[in-house]
Amino acid sequence: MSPTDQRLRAVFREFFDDDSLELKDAMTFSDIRGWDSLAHVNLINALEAEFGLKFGVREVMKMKSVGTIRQVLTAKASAA
Amino acid sequence: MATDMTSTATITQAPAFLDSLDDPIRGALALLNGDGDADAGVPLLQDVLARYGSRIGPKTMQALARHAKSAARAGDAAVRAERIRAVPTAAAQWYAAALLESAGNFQAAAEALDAMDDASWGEERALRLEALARNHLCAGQVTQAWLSLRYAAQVAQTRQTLVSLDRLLTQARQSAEPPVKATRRIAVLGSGVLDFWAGLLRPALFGYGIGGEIVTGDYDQYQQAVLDPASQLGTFRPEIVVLAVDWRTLGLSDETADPATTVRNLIDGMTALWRTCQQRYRAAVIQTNFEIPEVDPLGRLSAASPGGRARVIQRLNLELWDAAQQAGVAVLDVEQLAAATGKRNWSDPGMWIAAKQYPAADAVPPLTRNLAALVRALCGLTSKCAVLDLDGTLWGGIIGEDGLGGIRLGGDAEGEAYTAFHQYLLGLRGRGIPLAVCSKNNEEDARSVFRRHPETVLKEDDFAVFLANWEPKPDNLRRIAAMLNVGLDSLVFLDDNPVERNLVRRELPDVEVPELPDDPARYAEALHATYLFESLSLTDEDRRRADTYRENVERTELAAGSTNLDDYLVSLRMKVDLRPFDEANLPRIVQLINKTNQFSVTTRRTSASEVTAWMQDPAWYTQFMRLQDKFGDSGLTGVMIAVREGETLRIVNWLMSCRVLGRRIENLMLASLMRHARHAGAAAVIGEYLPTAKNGQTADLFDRFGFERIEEREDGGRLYRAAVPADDERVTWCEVTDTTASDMSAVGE
Repeated sequence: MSPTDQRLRAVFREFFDDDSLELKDAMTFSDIRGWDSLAHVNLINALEAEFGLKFGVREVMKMKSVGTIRQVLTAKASAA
Repeated sequence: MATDMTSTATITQAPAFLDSLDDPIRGALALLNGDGDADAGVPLLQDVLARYGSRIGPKTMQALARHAKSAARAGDAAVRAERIRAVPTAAAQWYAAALLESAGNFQAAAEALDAMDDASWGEERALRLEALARNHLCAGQVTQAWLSLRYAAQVAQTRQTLVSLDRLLTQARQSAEPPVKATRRIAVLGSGVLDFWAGLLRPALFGYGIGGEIVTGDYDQYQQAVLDPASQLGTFRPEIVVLAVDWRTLGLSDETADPATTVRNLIDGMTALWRTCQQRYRAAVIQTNFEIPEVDPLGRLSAASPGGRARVIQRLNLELWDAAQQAGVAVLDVEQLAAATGKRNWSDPGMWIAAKQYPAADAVPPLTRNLAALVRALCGLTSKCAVLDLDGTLWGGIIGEDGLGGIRLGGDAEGEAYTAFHQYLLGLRGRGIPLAVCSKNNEEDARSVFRRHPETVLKEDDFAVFLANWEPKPDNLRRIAAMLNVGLDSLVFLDDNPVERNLVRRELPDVEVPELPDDPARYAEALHATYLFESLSLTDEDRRRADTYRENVERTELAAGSTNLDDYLVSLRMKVDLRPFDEANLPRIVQLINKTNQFSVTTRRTSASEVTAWMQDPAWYTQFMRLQDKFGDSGLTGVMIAVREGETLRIVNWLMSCRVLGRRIENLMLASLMRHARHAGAAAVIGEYLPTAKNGQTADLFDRFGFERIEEREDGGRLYRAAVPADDERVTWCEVTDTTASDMSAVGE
């Protein structure tokens, strides 16, 4: 597991308060309890804090599943 | 387990390239890899934590905690935690605590966190206290958890930490009622999506010891919520209504045609809402004012053009203060908070467009803290008095040692940082906050600065109470509260010394004790950012109040209290090392003998060659004292010298630095001398007190230890005598290593 994936998992685990949570790319709002639209914005805030970056409006629109969040993060990381 | 040696497992020392990284600890963690073999990495981790771990930032703390969590899964966490704990850095203690927590040993984790160096400021402190609260909760110690939660909430710098604290608060509330001074039902209404931040008002309030039940209005429905009698407000019956409306809702165009009318209409609209809240719900109202957006098509001319958006908002904000004052409404100064936070951090245009989040995540800590401070003011809990330490707080250096000419106050940059702080405090006094002194000093020394120092801004008369003595500070704070006739929870105590701060927090949790940064230039800012003196209005009576306090004090009788010093001393985990003089420590020993004035029985000065001669002469007994506690190493801070004269042993010099006073170290030093006297076959010990202008605090030192006065001279000097006790008193409150007696056992034979 890449360091980015580890940190991503850690943020999800802390955010949803579930230490056994394992992430799969296909996961979306309906797959994790408590992942609603309000929580989604808070999750984006948490990811910004963890990775020390800000997401642009296009990125925010794209981040609708674990897979797309990973894509956006990976793209951001390689651009940095 | 660790049978298969990987490449990282063979590294036992930090590789040189880590030195070039911004964050070597995180670099090392990446090298180790969170899911890798936990045991093999321990030597490398130990080395890295020892080398780079004396100060750690919040990001590193989180990375260490996560690494520990995955490492703990490999088992043997307790054993590894012990090995890591042996490394005396903050990072190692933090890592060990995380290991212990992951292994379910919450009690031990809490102990490790409690022992961690607490000199850090801001988010690091918040994270440590949050972890401490979490472990206390898991260990079933709710009472301790409340305190850590409160202190963490006071200093949390990020939204994420507030979220965690809110979670812990909710968890703690399931097992006990939180200890709060007041509770308020608060409705937060406004224009953005309020759920992003309004709930975090709970931990912010708890930081001030206030409970909050909070409801939030729907997006942009604040007018309906207030005006519709059937809205949720009717059943919730708020005691406080917060109207958080952002500048976009004002609907201002780039240039308003009739700014005066526009501003009047906006104010009228707000006033109508306030009146409804006040009359229908009997609620107090907090209204936000308006951020002036940085980005505007007119650029800076937006403030120059009569109808420009920036100018209209400035005008609106000004008129809002007046209208609110008249209506008895409190204004939350969002424009100032946004400027202080940085407007580009305060809002995030993408998150506004995508999610209607305003203000942004970074704005949440200052926003909720300032709002909570206004709620505190509405509860009548605004702090009333600033109590000040002196050495290191109002000037650089130590007046009792450095003298009037030696302390830093005015004159150079460091000194001017202190006079600037004087100015700020004088301003507080001017608005009705009385100032008091609570300092470990001789009163005459302390007062001389305010009487005679050419650069001092604060004068003696500016203080309502002036307590400079050698009693424990909690006792003095009790006296100050009694003399001013205010509660302990009205006092704000400012001290640059973290040991004193923690002593006061422990003994008097009601007293507010803000953290002070290392840099005196930032003292005023740190005090300001606590918002402890935020009040609702300012009257002429307020402006006279500081004088009134002072006059009252002159009539008030002193009430002395006591404190449980024993518990505090134990909690310091002191290690005292008593050793005979040696070559390596000679320069420091001579320096200490020649500069110590206050805790000094004879104040006899000396030279290196004289001391060297004593060290070689078997008739002389020498002892130096080093003190360490959980906050760090105080270094060589005590000296005792005695000489054998027939059947007796005479104390020639006995002194300690004022940094370590009030911790009963003198008992240990004397006990060590007595031990030596016994081994050496001496019948009695002779003590001597020679009065000087500064050593008044040792005038009755020998009396306190049960010595008998055998000679009193006209100049106030005295000789004492005490028999050598048959055996030692057991010391339970600290760890003592004493190698002085064995060295000299031949002398008496």
